[in-house]
Amino acid sequence: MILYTRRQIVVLLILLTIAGLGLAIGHWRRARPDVADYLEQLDRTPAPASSLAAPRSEDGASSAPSPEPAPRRQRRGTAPSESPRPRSAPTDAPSDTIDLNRATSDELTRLPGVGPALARRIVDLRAAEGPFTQIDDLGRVRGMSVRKVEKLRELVTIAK
Amino acid sequence: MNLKRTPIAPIAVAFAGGIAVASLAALELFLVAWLVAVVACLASLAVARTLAAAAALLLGVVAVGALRGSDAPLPPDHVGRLALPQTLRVEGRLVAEPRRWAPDRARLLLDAVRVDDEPRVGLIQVAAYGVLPPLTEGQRVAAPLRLSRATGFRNPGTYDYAAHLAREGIFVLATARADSVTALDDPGPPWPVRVKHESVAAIGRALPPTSAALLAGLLLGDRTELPRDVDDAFRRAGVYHVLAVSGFNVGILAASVWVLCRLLRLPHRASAVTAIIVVIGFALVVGPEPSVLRAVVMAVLVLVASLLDRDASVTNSLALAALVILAARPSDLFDPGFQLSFAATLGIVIAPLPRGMVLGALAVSAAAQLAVLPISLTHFNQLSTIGLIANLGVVPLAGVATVGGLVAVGLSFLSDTVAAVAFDVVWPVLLALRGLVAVAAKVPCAVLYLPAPGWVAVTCYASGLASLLVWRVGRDREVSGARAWLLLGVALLALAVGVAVWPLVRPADGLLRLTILDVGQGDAIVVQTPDGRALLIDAGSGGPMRLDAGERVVAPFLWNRGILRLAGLAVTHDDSDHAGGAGAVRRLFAIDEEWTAANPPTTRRFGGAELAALPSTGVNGWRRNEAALVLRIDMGLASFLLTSDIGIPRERELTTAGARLDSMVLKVAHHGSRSSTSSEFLRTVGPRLAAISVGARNAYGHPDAGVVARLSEAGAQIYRTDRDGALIFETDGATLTVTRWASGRIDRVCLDPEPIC
Repeated sequence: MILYTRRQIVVLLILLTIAGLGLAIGHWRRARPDVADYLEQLDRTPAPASSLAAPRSEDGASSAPSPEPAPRRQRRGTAPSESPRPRSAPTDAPSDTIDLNRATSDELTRLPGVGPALARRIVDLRAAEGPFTQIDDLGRVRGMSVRKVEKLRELVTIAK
Repeated sequence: MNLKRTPIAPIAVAFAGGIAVASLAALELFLVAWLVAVVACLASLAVARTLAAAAALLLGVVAVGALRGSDAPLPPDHVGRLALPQTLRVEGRLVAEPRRWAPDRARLLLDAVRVDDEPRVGLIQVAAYGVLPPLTEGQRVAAPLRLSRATGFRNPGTYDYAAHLAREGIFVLATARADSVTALDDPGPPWPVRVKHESVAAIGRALPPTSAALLAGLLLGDRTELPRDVDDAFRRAGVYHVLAVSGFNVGILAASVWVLCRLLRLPHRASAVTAIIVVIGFALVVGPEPSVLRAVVMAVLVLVASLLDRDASVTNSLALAALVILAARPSDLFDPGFQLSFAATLGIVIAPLPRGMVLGALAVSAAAQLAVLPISLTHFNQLSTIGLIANLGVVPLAGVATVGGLVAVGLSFLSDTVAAVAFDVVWPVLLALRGLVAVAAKVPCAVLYLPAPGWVAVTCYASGLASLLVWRVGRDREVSGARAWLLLGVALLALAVGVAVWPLVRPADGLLRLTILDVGQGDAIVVQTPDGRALLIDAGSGGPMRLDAGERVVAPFLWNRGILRLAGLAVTHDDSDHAGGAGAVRRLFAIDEEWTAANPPTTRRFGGAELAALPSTGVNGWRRNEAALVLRIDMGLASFLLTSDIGIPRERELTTAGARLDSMVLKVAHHGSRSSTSSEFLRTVGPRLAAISVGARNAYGHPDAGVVARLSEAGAQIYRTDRDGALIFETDGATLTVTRWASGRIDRVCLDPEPIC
């Protein structure tokens, strides 16, 4: 009885290897979000804790975080296991929001789910079409899903 | 069946097997198995052993299936990780059309976006009470929701609703007032939903309500408007499958489009492409049920094969359809719809069919019935006897109605006047269909209710049928030794039947078993007497517009215990949370005697156990609760006092009347309401164990904290159905064991003062 020919087996084996690998990695990534996040940050230059605050200190009055995000960050802090980036942002100050219209692409990459490429596109869009007027404008950046905008909403501000 | 023609079948079976065993072992084990399989396959290839390589490959597929089937941990921002229950403001998108199952009740499925202004993900199933504003799929809505973890009633041998919801990816349930649900945007329904709405509306305009609902079911699988009795008749007649969209509808649609295109002189390939597009569009309209997906994948494969001028192997397409569906939604493997659809199709495809119109049709019907038999017994405890014959008439009628209905609905998008003519042609066919189904459902013993067969019986049955198939194929080719397969098949089938009917013929074990079922807020108590008879005391809630515990909980529990006949049914009083389910029980079981408060049972013995009703004198002036029937059951040193819903006045009356009250186990009155279970009464009864039958998160605040405190003070160990699921008390008169079904914990109580047991 011949179940499969040699060539069929080779093709199926390649498929099987890829499927198993993908599933295994997927399970592992979801089981250990902190390690996955750490790996995701490896190639970044770890920004010094002050780099976020630096641009803001230039005109602290106008870009001071709105009163709303602060308590949210605190509430998030009460459940450390649910914080999306527990490892990579150990110095989370309660007021660490990023001003979309001032942040450099490096600073933008500190946001969850924003890599160097996406950060560059945000900066490019800002350069091309002028400053953001509302957070929803982020949706116009290529690669920004509605869900991602929702995730970022409380982490970013827009200076008037 | 030739394996060379169906290369995907072994892979699909291995993958399904992997999903089935996924929950049995840790993820790491399957990972190792996968690695071993890949290495073994490579090694076998290196030494040119293709058969070994194929075996290793299939092992790898099992491992990958298990990897796909194991549950991933919920992401950190999933709604299931919230501390529940609590009331929160939720914003989300509707992922399905709201389902209105009563004028003032609707069910929404919400994909959360924000919860209390924090980004969250995950599905929430919302029960909305009141009149819902017009909402549609894809709309973004916000509402304050009372969120709770998804749970169902937890009883042995009944449908596990929580597991069903988990398979759908729902871990959180919610209730809301319908008028507090506000729409945040209005993108308009997507086109498939619009087409479905328009079609249902067009049918509704042209036909009287019941026929319209039936046609909507036949064409689109939309059974929401179908009256309960018609729905029941289709179930009883064993022809319910015509109301689910399946290969039947899809096949008819594809064939109609094909024929139409050919009549219009379109070339062969253009016709196939058109049919593929129409079939996929149809699937989008009717929604992603497993049976729809199966039929559409198969139809598309057959059509693509005809595009490529190749022969399509039906078995192979079936296997590919299974593989595609399971890869996308592995939990569908446990879905009754998936199982029924694939089993019926497989049965029809591989069974040897005789030639001839009538004989062939009968064989198709028989093959499908044989294939779905263990599945419908496992999930629904039903064995349809009339279905074999009823299908012969129903399927052609449904086919004609489907073709006519499709044409009529298509015309309705052009002109209502023209469509009305077509609908009027379909109407008599629908009437004939309904008449035939009604007659078939009236036949005595149209449906037999039996215990669910265990996996041993199902395995024997399936291998028995497979052996018979091998014998049949071998006989046609005159292979020697075919008779051995015949004998093996018959033996396996006999074994399957023996194992399956064992619960029905099992001799009584001499134990008194009293099960307080988890029916939410309500009472349902099954007593299995030492001589093998069964009594039911109350049947849980029921009635229109609510879940019928009699049908959904009590009946399956009894069937799966092998109980088809009740020696007695006691309805302690007429409140809907005690008497509601009794109607369904009367319909589904033979009952020797019925008792109520006005007609109490005389003291009688069932083997070693004695049942007695406690006296009631002041029935007239009292409310229903006070007048309820109070029963006690004694066996040896064990005694149970079942106090229904009585309050303190009746307790006092029983105490002063000098009724025999002292009991080992007390079924606490009125779900633990504070107006019952006084300290004086507890002193008289002196229970060591107390059981409270109460619904989780009920609106009355039962059980009352004071009652719980009084019970603890009296020294009683408390069991509660809302936390412990069903409570099973088993006694031989000297010892008593209590099983909490939800946790599986078993307590053992020695009743003899001299502890020798």
